[in-house]
Amino acid sequence: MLKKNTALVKNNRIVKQQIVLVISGFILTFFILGFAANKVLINQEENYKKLDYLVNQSNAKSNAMTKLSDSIRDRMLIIFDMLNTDDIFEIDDMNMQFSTKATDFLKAREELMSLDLTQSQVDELVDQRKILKLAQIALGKIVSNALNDTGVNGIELIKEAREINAGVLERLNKMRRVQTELSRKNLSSARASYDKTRSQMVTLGATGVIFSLLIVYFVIRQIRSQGGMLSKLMQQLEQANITLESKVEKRTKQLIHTREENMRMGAELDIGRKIQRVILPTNEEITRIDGLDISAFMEPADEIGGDYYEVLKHENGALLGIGDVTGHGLESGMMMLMTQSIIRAQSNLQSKNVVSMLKVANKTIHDNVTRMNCEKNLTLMLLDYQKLKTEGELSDNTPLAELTFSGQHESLIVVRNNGDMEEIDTDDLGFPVGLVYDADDFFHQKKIKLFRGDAVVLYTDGITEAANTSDKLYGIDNLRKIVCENHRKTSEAIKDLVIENVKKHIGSQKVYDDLTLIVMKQE
Amino acid sequence: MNVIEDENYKVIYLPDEGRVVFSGTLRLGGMTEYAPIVECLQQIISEKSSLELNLKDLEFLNSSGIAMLSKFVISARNKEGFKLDITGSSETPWQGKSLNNLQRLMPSLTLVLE
Repeated sequence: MLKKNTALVKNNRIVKQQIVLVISGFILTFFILGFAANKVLINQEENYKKLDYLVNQSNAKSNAMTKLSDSIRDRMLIIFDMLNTDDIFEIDDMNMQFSTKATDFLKAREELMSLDLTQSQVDELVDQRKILKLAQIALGKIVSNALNDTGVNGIELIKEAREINAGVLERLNKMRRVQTELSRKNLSSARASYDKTRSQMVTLGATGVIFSLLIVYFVIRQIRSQGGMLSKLMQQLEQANITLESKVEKRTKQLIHTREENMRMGAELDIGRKIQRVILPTNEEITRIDGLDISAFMEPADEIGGDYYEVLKHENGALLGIGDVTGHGLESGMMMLMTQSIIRAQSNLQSKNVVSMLKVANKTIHDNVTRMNCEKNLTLMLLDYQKLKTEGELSDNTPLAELTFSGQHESLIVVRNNGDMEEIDTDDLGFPVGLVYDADDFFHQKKIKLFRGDAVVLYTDGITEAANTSDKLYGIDNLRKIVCENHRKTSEAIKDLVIENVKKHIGSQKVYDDLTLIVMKQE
Repeated sequence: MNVIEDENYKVIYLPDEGRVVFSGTLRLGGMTEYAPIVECLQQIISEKSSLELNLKDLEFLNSSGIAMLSKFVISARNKEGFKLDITGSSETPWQGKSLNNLQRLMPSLTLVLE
């Protein structure tokens, strides 16, 4: 799921990037085109201004040059007329006109000089000035002669002046041609500038278009990759759905299995507890035994522990048994049931030999656990309680019964009537039942005599190994102490006190193992 | 050197020293799970003439484990002349009674409880 979310976030990010890219692309294109248009407009305006200026200058120059030519030509005509007349007044008038034209020439020249002339034009005009001065001198002489009516050399002077003026005119014409050529050049330069502007505009426009195309290309590429990603995402989602479905299916199966397993285990526990409980001797059976005050307590742990105890009354007493199957669970319960059946069956065969009973039990259980492949075994102790025949006066020293016991189990606690306590180790009396087939040699028996008021306590390790919240075990010492302190009480009272003490020790701690306790008191 | 282990226990066979060292907590489920250890021990019986089992640091051994050791001791007893030493710890609760039972299965076994 995390993977898919990441992909979606990535996709959203790409969409945002694309929007930003498109917008920024268009803004940039707009700016480029705007810049291009602006540039074109500015260039064009400059061109127009330049052109306008050039045209004005050119026109002004032409005008000034025309005026120069005209004034020269007019002066030549005036001189010519002056030479052809004798009327002094007319000559005087013409002289006035000549002077006016001279002023016109100077004005026109001034005008021309004030214009934006090229260096060659300036040089030309300076050069002309010298020639014109010569012409002026010649013309002045002519005019002066005419006024003095000498007429000498008039024709030669006119010729001379005419030639000089013709030269000046020719130079002015040349200057005009040069000016025309310059104008043409300026025009061509303006056109080049226009062409440049146009090419700039085309370049910028093309850049804008290329840029736009690039943006479009990138966006398309992005969209394609996005498409690929989305399709991958869809595949992933599809795959995830399939995986999820299979996971859900698997988990459902697991849950069903777990539920079934729990139900099965719950049923197992119920069955196990029932087996353990229903097969235990009833209170009635226990209390019916003549001369023996017996109390028994058995409380299975949360998981079935497989504790076993038995009290089977016979014609001269009772056969007692106590055992503890290794491990927990239904199999332990089954082992306990097997053990009980084997012992009871032998008891019914009138055999009271605890050693032979244990040997048979060992072989039978070993064969069964091998068949069951469960590797369990048990500690088991059998005790045959036989009342002894008594004659005459009974004293505290008269043995009332004999207890014969065999089997490896927890030690036996015996508290005599006078408070003496014996702890009898059973390790050498047997072997774990069912562990090895050939264990006959390990089973032995012991006998003790019981006197009035003697107490015998049997228990499983559930009692001595009961742990408290600090994992401290209850221990045999506590058990011995409480039995010793209360040995004069009834078996039931002793049993209750021990159990109360053990439970107080356990406190809120979990009960790990079955608790089994048998207290016998010789009456 | 052969090592059989998981996160809870370690069984190390040191052929040169003729020693198998057990440590940790052995709670395997049944003989099938103990098979690799059994196989290793049986092979030693068939190939060697003596072995020392060091169980000092084996804090716990379940009933299947005790059954496994018992069967191994019986196999060792059945091989004539095979010398078996077992070293244990008197401070480890499961070992006292169980190791004595092993010795009872094979009286020639040398049991040292440290």
